[in-house]
Amino acid sequence: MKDRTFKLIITTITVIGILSTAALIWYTCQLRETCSIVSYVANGR
Amino acid sequence: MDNGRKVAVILALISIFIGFDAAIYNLFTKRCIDTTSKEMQQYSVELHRYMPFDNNSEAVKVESDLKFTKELPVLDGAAALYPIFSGIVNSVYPEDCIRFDNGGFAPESALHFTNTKGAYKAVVDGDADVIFCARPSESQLKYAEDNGTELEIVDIGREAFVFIVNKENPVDGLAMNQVKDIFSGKIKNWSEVGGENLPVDALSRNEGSGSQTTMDKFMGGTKQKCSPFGAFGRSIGYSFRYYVDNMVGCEGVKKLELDGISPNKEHIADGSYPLASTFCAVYRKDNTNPHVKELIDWVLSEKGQEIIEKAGYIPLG
Repeated sequence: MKDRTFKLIITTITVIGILSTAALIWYTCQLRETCSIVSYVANGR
Repeated sequence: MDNGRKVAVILALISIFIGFDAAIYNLFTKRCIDTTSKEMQQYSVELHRYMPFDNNSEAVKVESDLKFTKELPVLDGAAALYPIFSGIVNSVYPEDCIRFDNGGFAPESALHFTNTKGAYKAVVDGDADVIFCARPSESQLKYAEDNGTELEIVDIGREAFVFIVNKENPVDGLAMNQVKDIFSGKIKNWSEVGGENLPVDALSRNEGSGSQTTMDKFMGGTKQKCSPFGAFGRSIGYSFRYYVDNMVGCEGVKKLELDGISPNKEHIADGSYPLASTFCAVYRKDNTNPHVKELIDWVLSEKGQEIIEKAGYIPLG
């Protein structure tokens, strides 16, 4: 594998990873605002 | 770097992101996913479960001498009390008084459901004649005052304000001052109250809801605080006993004893549970509907209190 290809793959994975993590955090915050307090306690710890 | 190491680095990076996202999902996202029905998620109550005049519903009914045929007072109220005011309609009102279209009660229906915040606005604005809720918050009273209306608040039954934890939490009870210290942020770890060495995740509800108004009164002016690390620990929340026991269907929670007293019906009725409180019927003092006071008197009568008991709540006694 060429170094340039390797760097491109690493960069792509990092960008996708950061975006997916950010999306998951955003989704979690949205859910948290509307979920039932009883459901939250029951589903948590 | 040889190709083998490059592939290993790529796979490691992918694994790190997948692992990190999986941890976020399992620690935080999963617990926010509401597994109750769509109707429950939309309304905080399953309206059809307690729909009046429906053979398959659980709406309670008593044989009543009081029957309205016209000039029906429009009823509205809190999710936790919906079984009561649907039971009142089921017992006193004519069968054709309900209009349920497109997933909600039509404006011309005698039965509405807009939850506590909506109901207080509705009774002040004149969209509802009588609402069934916990006592109003300061902002709800101010809204009435700003609109030049005075509310009549009549206690009609007893209920308990309860604190809930996950059933796996080893803590079964707290003292009142411990609860206040938890929600004010003074107690941050469950080990301080006999539990595990885990952060306390003190939850709160939206302003204007019946349970938040009751919690604000309980805290007596002390602000509620939550720890950012609480999400890594065990949660504690609050609601009304009937709602937790009968309406949400969550077996994963348990109600805490307060000062050693469990929030069961007996302790609520005799007043020994420290946070036994009343719930109310509320109407505008200047309401001109001729049946409003008649309805309130009926709710306070033996038959009306029978509705409250049959619906699973505690009568005034």
